Amino acid sequence: MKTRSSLWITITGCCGLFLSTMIFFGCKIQSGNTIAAMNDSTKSFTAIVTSAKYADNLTRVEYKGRSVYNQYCRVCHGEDGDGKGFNAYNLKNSFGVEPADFTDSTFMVNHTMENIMNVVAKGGKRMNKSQYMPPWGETLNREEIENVVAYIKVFSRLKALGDLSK
Amino acid sequence: MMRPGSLKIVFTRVLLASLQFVVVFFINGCDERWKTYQEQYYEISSAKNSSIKIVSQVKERVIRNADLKISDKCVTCHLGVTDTLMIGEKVPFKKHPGKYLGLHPPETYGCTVCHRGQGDSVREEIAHGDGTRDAVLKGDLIELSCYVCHREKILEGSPVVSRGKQLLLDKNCVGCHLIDGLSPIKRTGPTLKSIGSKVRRKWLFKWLKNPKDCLPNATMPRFELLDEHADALAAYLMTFKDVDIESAKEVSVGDSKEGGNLARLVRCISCHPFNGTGGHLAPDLGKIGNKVNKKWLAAMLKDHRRFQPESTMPQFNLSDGDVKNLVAWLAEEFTDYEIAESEMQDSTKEKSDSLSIDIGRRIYKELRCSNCHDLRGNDDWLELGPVLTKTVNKKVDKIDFGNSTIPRTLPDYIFEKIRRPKVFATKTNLMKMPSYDISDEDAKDMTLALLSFASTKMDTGKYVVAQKETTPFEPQGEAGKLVEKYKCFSCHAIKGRGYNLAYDLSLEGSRLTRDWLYDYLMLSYSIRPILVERMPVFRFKSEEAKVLTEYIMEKLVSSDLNNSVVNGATSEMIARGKTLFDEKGCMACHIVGEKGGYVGPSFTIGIPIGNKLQAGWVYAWLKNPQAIKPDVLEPNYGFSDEDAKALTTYLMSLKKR
Repeated sequence: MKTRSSLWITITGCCGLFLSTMIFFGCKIQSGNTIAAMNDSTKSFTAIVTSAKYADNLTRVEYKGRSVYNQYCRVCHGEDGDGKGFNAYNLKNSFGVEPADFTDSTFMVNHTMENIMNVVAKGGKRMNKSQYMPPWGETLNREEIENVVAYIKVFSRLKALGDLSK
Repeated sequence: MMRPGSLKIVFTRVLLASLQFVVVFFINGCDERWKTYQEQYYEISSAKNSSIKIVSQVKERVIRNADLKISDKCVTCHLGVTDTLMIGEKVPFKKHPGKYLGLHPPETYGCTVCHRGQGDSVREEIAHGDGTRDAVLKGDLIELSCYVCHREKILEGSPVVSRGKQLLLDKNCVGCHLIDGLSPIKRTGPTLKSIGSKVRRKWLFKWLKNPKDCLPNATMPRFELLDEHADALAAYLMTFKDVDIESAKEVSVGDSKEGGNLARLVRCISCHPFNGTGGHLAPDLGKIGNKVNKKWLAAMLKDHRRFQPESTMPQFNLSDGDVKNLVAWLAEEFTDYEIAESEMQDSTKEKSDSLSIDIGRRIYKELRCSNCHDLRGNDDWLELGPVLTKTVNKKVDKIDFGNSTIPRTLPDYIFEKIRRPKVFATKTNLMKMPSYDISDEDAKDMTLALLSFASTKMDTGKYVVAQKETTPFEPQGEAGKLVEKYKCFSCHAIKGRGYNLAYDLSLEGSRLTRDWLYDYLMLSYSIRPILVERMPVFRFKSEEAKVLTEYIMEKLVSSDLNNSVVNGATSEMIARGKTLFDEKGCMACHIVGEKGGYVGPSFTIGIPIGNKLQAGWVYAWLKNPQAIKPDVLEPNYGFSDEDAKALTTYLMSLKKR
């Protein structure tokens, strides 16, 4: 009689274990399917609104950086980052200074993220470059500088892609 | 019959089964990653903070607030949210971006009030709840959380929703739909009471078929009318004529060249683009010759508010000769002769009989044209479309998706309805809403804006500080009349009213000298060549310029700006200012002498800075330019008081005697 009851206990225990495991993993599989369904419909509102890619295939950080760039940097460094902005002509004529060309990949490779961030924050003079690059450290906060440097890096990437397609 | 032992056995079995369930749950739920995160965080923190050795216990952290019904353990892993040392670190150590936490300290508000998710778990998958209803909000969706508590129209912290709300107003969605919380309905289309005298019928027909064919950035949507319906509507609209224009004699031929010179002088292009080039405040005039009658154009240039009382265009002082020349220039230079020729060959019949007019009248009513346009001066609003603040609270099963294949969710429905309203049309329900050709980006923002109106049950009374309402600034007296006549607020802002296209005039009396201001009003020359939208030359009468100058110098001043900063200027100070000026590379943007960049105003060409600006303002500007003009390009150099004083002294010494 005693053996029979312990057998019963073991059987029920096993069933309980099996069931609870099933229930638990069942829930997991269920939620996994929902994610897959959401990703499938790329055109859905949720997909567009939560997408990590922004206009022109930029990341969120680069996209934010673009508006800072267009506001403060574009006038000299140019809309396409080629160093030929509206004011570049005057700088060359008056002082013989040319704004940096961000599409030049060799130039960009030689400058680390940290290095460019320093030039943006402290200005050209303190980084042994031209004094006509002003310091932005008091105007932009660290986050904005990070964003704008991320965007500056995009130009050489785009150029490289353009060269490849030729 | 049940033996006494069997109850015991059943009890044991149940106990064991539930115990096993708990064990399994524990093994599954046991995720110790948060401990690793905490150890890593203390390592990074100690490395960055060499002076203080951080000794912290590894433990679960929780924020509780019974009012907001939160119990958030998020900070167990996201340790650096308020730590300025953690700027630029990786998730989950990173500092929270923006000013949000300054206004909503996490000790009080926790995280899930905005981010959602399941705050009572430290296991990542459960806490973030991916794919479930309680998932952490991703991307721009997070902005919807602001509107759970805040009911303001525009919130600085939610740029996407604010932009969406502005779009809802610009596209005049509120013309047909009530949206509680957005400003009352206002007609955005022009008054049509003299349309029959204004435009050519061929143009009107083309416009009604698709406004974007005539004007690429037209605001009016496309109603997808059949040819005969568009023609009938045109016939009806052409019956609204202006008696004065009809009875006036033809405009005598003017000098087109003179007209062109005048147009360049008063800078029409600052607001009106010509075939895509120019400002963006007003309609493109590139094909105006194909559109309007010369008689109407002349009458409009003389007094445009007779036709459009709400117009933001300034009233220019034009003589009859000026008007004649401008009309000649516009008609000659800006007529597309290819279009004119194809119109000549066009053999479509234009019907103007009473039946067509009657059909036109019915179409006008059916399409709810009067919700955007005024035809008789006091038209009634017709029956409106659905109240959108109710729509966003609808249950999904109450929405008619028609035959479309989009996902069955409310946000998807709104999104698609904005982008392509006709998608939901069926044989029985044709859908009245016209097509606006709204881009995905705009539609997304507008959808979010609408979703932000969904009602919430959260009671946050004591946590929300309502924004103060201010009465708009209203200039009084003669100057007030002139501000209205020349529509200064169309470009300039004063004390929070108006647009930010041009300089904010709130401090103008403390910034400029009286002489310079008067001369500039009399002849507004180009100060910043980089701008497209420059001040038109209004050709003020000298009394008018005097009144405006007096008003600005008297009323738009601040006592904080004190010109005495340059008192006792010595030649050493000027020399020091000059050295600073050269060292800091100011000339990258400003011209002095013959050298310099041309981003900011030149300091010596024309009127030198010493004759133009006041020292107190220059000093305050140098200390912090963004405090005066938030979006200005000039960097803040963080000058000390002494340096700023020396520079001000130097700049004020650049003067014509």
